[in-house]
Amino acid sequence: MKVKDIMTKDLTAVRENQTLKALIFLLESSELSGVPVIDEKGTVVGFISERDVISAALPNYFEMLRTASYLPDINQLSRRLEEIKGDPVSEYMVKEVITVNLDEEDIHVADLIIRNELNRVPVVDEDGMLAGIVQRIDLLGALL
Amino acid sequence: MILTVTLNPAYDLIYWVKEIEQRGETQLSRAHRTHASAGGKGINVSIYLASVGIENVAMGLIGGHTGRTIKRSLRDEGIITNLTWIDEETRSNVAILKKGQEDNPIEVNSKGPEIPKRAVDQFLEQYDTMLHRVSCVVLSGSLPPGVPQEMYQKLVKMAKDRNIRTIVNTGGKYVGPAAKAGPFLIKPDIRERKEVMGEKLTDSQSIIDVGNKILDFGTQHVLLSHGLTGDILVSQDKNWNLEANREQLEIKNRVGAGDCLIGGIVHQLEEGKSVPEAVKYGLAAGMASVQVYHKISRDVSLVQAQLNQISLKEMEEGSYES
Repeated sequence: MKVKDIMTKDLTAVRENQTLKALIFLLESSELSGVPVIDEKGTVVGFISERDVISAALPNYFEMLRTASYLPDINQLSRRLEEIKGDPVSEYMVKEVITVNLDEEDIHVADLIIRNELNRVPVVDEDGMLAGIVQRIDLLGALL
Repeated sequence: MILTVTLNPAYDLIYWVKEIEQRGETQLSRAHRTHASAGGKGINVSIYLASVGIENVAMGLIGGHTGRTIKRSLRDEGIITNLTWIDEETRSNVAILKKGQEDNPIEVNSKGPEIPKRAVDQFLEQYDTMLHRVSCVVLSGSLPPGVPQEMYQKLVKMAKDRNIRTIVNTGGKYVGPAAKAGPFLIKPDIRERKEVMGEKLTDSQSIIDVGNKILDFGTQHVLLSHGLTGDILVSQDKNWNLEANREQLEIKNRVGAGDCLIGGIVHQLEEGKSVPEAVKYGLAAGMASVQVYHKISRDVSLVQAQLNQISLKEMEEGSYES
C-alpha cells in the first residue's frame, strides 16, 4: 500500500516564527504530540514535539528518566517554560526532519518509524510541501 | 485543489418529528429520525466535493470537543484538514423537520463562539500559505463574533491577488463587503431575510437589479434563488433563468441543499463547463439532496435524473416577471 493511501490528510503545522506558547496551545487543543514546522509556502523545514519543548526547558530531563534521579522541583520547569515561551519554534525544532513521499510504500515508512522510534512522520508532495502525516496508528490500522 | 473556508462551523443536528407545537407549557416531541454531522456551509461543500472524488481542503476555526468531532468527521470523509484552533467550543446547530412540512424546516443556529484576534491572525497566516497550492476558494457561511465584518473582502482579495477563482456564499451584512472585493461568483444566502444589500427581492426584476448592483463592484456572476426550485444567474453579459420541476419532488431534508448547489457548481467548473451549465448541474445536485435524509446526497444518479428536469433559459430584456 502507498503512503498516500494510509496517511492522515491533516495539514496541522506551525510556522518557524511562531512561539513555543502558540505551539503548546496547538498541541493541547489538537491532542497531538508533535507537528511539522513549515515555511510561508508550506514546505516542511522541521518537526517539533512536546518532547523537544521539555528538553528545551529541562535539558537533562530525559537523561534523568534513565537514571535514579528525579525531578527536584516542578517550579523549575514552570519557571523555565515561562522564560522561553516567547521563543520561536525554529530555535528548538528538529531540523534534520525525516519525511516520506506520497508514493512510497508502507513498508518503507514502517521501517523508518521503527528504526528511528518515531510517532509521526510528515508526508510531502513532489515540491516538499506538507501533504499529510503518517502515524503509528495509521500503519497498524492499515495492517489489520 | 479546492479550498473551502468555514469560519463558523457547526455540528449539525437534524430531527424529524411528527408533531411540534407550542401550547403554553413544556412540550416534549420525540424524533422518529435523527441525523448528526459536521457542518457549516463550507464544510458541507467539502463533503459534497469529496463524495464526487474532488480533492479539497477544509479550513476554519474550531474548538473543544465539538471541534475535535468535526475534525474526525472530515477525516472520515477523506477531506484534507487545515484547521485553526480556538479556546471556546464550536457551536451546534439544530434543524427540525415536521412531517409533511419538510420543505420548511425550523432552523436554530447559534451565533458561534467569540474569536480572539490571535486566532484570526493565525487563520490568515494559514490561509495565505494554502493559497500557494489551490485553484479555487469557496468562502461560505456566517462569521462568528470577533471576526471582522470585512473578512470575506480580505480573503477574496488575497485569493484574487494570486489569480485564484473565488466563490462566496453568505448572507445579510457579509454580502456587501464580499461583493466589493469582486469574487468570481457570489450567491447571497436569503434564508433569513429576502433582501440583499438593503434591496428587497420581490420579483425577477428586483433580483436582476440587485444582481446588477453587485456586478458593478466587479463580481462576474451573481446567483440568486427564488423559491426552492428556481435560480436566476446574473452575469456581466447575459442573465439566465433556471427552473427545476417541483412536481413529484418528495422532500425529505432540504438542509444542506444550497451547499450541494455550490458544490455542484465547483465540481462542473473544475470539469471545464460554462458557468450557466455548472449552475444547472448545481441546481440538480441541490434538488437531488432534498430527496434523501442524509444532509449531503452521494447519489449521482439522482443528480442526473434531476438534470433532465431543469430548464436553463437566457432571459431577454423586458421579459422579466413582476
